[in-house]
Amino acid sequence: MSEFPLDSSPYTSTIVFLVRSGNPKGIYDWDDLIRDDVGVITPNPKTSGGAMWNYLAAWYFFEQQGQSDEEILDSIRKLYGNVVVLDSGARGSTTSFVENGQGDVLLAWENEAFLSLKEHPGEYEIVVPSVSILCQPTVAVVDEVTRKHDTVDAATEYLNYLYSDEAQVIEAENFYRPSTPEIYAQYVTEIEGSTITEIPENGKWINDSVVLTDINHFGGWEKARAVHFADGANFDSIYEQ
Amino acid sequence: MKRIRKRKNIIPGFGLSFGITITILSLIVLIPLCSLIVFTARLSFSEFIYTITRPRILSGYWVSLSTALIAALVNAFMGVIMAWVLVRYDFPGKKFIDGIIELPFALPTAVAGISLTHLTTTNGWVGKFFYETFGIRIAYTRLGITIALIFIGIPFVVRSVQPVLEKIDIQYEEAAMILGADRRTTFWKVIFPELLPALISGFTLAFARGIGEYGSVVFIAGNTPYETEIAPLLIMSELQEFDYAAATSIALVMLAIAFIILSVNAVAQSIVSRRVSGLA
Repeated sequence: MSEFPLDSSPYTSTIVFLVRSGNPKGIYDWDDLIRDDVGVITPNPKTSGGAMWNYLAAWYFFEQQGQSDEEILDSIRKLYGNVVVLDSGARGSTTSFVENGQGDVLLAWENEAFLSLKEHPGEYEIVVPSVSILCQPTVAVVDEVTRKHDTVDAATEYLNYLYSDEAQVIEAENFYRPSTPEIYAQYVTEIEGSTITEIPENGKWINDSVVLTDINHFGGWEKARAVHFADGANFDSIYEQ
Repeated sequence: MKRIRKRKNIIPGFGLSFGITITILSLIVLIPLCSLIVFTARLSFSEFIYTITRPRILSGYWVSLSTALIAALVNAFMGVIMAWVLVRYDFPGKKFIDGIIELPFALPTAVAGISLTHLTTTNGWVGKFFYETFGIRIAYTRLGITIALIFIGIPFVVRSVQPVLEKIDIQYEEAAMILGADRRTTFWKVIFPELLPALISGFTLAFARGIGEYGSVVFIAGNTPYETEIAPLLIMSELQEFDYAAATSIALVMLAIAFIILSVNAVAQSIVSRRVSGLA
């Protein structure tokens, strides 16, 4: 995990809400997701690795509300009780929400949410919750394969390139949060407020006010998996009858 | 005792061709199935029983089995009608329709799933009509799963029944008519018994396929635990957690179910075909 700088994450993302234009249900933060009248779309964290972040972000919010573990579990149970379609992957969830019109809010990776905004202008809004989680897609050179193909240098060079200024700009243009502080700063929006109705004309899209936790808060992936996603662990228990 | 002369076969040597059969069967069917048992054997017996009897898993089996059964029954009924029309009538575009029956075989199941979902959600062409007129939701319910399985299973029935129907000599029907049978009697007493073995095999294939179907169902199912979560999806979630033993345990139970279904099919077929050929 530490072969490349910054936990091997050249860029990061976070979890935001995508709601329908005008935010008809008035969804602004995680506690709105457990209201009875809200339909949520998010993938199943047991089949979609990316969806674990959604779950953990929600957990962190309720934790920040000062809830005990028992109460957090209860809130999470209500949240997943509102899930209309528990797709097996993130792309499936986007399809359910965008193409098939299911649910009131999609829990999405920030870059995916911005892409939906770009592809369907005027139909959706992004709501940035008060707290979320730092999603770190990690990169690695697969030794076994690169050695066999004699591409160790090329692969390593490519991954190093992802940290270069040039690549960081490309990543930022595609709505991933760049890791180089100077480039990150260039994309931070000055606009106040947590609702984004269109892609800013000046290209500054990063909402810096959201408080982000990260996986270390949950004791790393190994522990998070064991506590939350293993068989019979927290995520399973919210569906116990 | 006179030695019975060996019949000449087109493919030489029973020994050789039988050997090839067994080799191929072992390589692509039996060995993978054995590995399933080996993986499962990492669990103790009580762990295995615990894994496969968790309420969530049981509900997954039930969802898969019940929807596949209903879909196969619908397919058995519709498939006979479709095969009948294709065999007994001539109409423009017959070849074309005959061809598209196989489309569900050729189409990637995920494509089928996504397009069926798109049609049947409360915003889709079909789904909207049913929702607004009858208040029935199709996508993201068991009804949606059943429809996906009907789509996947229909060619099995049509393609099993069609060749048999083609071979039934029209003279049987004429004879029945001359002997005074009305149309209903002719169908039930003359044609249907001939079709039955093929129908049973088509039904079984559609049923067995439906139980294991994953690609098309995950998109239309909604995957709500205890409601629309199918057994193959539970296998996928175990694999996502790298819990191979649990995944193979669930798979083993599905294998057993499939085995039982196919055995029942074999028995039913032999009984029926003996009756048809007048041996019993």
